[in-house]
Amino acid sequence: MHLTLEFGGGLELLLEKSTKVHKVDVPPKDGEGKVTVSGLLSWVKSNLIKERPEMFLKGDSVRPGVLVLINDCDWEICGGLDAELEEKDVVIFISTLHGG
Amino acid sequence: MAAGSAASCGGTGCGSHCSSSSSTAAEDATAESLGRLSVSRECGKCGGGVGAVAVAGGVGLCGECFRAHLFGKFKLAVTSNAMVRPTDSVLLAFSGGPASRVALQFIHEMRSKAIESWDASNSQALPVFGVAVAFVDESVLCSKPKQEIDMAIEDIKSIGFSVGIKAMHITPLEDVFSMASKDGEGRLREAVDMIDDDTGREDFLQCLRMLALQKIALENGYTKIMLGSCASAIACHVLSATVKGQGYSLPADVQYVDTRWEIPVVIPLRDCLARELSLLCELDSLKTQQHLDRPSNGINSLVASFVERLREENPSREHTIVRTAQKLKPFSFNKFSADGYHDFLPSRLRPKFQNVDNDESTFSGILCLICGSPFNESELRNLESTKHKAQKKTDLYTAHCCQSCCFQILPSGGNLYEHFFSLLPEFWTGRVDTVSVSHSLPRDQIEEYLLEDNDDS
Repeated sequence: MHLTLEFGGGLELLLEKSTKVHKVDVPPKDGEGKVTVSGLLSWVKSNLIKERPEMFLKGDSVRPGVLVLINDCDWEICGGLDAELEEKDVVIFISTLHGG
Repeated sequence: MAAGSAASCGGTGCGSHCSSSSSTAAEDATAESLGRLSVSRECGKCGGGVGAVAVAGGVGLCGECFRAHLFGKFKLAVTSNAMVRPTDSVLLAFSGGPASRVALQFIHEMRSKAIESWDASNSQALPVFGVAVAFVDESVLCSKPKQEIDMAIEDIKSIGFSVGIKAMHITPLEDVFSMASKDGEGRLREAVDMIDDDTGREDFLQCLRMLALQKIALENGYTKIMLGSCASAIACHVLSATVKGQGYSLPADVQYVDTRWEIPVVIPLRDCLARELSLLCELDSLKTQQHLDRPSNGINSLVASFVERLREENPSREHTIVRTAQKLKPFSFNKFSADGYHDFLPSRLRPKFQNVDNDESTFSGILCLICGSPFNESELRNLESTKHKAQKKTDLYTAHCCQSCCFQILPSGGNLYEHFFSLLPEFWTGRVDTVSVSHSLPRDQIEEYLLEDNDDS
């Protein structure tokens, strides 16, 4: 599944070359061809995060203080970890720990 | 649905999804056990099938309502605390982060609306307040390449200009050290390096930032400094100040208004959460610049992580912490003096101001030389005692520092104090009255000539 991922608020520093925007192809985990946010996080941890994964993930979810938007919508409205992603969705991860 | 702030719907009603009226403990427990809020996908304010994109106070809101919700909080803070007079020239402290970015956007919008009203007004009797932006450039302490720093500074400038701000002050932090000496950078680095404690260094830099903002405001004629400090930052400060033993002075730092500085400081985003402000920046494509942020290793970042974990369990925790701290009695300088406001002050706002006929209208206490905290009784007694027996200026400078700054900021070796104070900006040390020391001989030089208390004459 082709997705666009964006990292901000300092999270991009955990990725290779501190690149903020990544166009990725995430394989579905189950046989139904669905990709959930939970599955995406697992894929990001394995394939994109190069250092200090604890700054991005805590257990199966994002670390407290990381905001997740799916197509400019708070993931809490979309279903959180169980939200199902669709082709060409844009998922944004922003760390809010820096204040400002 | 988890409980949210009672003010989240602005009193206008959120429809059937309003959490303040319909949630039960059982529903809260169910929602929390699922590890997420069970929030409706329809806007809880305007309804009508409009999709929600953001959560505020446990309610899903569409983009427009979410924005209006935050702007409403900002405007209410500004107007109900009379933060900005029509004659004011406001200096907004912009760090590049989302909170101060939103403050910049909102104050600009308030000003634009005020200008429209002024244009439409027949009398045009009252002017419109002015807004400028200040950015304190701390890149001298940053290990990033110069090219990256320059690009980040250009981004800061472009953000200000994109909002229509004409006056932008990009001031290097070392400038506060440069008044009497050209080597401001050297003195800044040396002073910071003398502080052993990571948290102490961070707090010292925070004090220097305020000093830099005060300097910019005084030199350019600004009458108010507006900070982007949000509820999340204040909640963190409440806990970290408690940990550091700064409980006495804590009420001074968590109010909307702080007039202990030469240029009063106002905090209009005090009721907004960092998460909400970050979300608004994304939804409205408000550009931020956090490339120059430095990693934090001390108590402050530990507390921030702790507060985030609390928030994960209950989104209202930050508001709860701030509301609890509000129960502490503020100082007299946490209100404006009515002087200068008479022409603009509606009667409903008069209780917000110091009573000019009352002795409380002027704060007569001592403020810490470094952090500006008001002295408690113990610190005042120590200062009085030191004044009588001080043999060196350093003794007086030390006695003018609060216990917290003495512990975590002053160098660990007492013999280093003199050098440390010699590095500090004269803006600071010049406020300490050392006349009594300069005119008295050191006691040990005249010891042999002094009569003992029990000597007969």
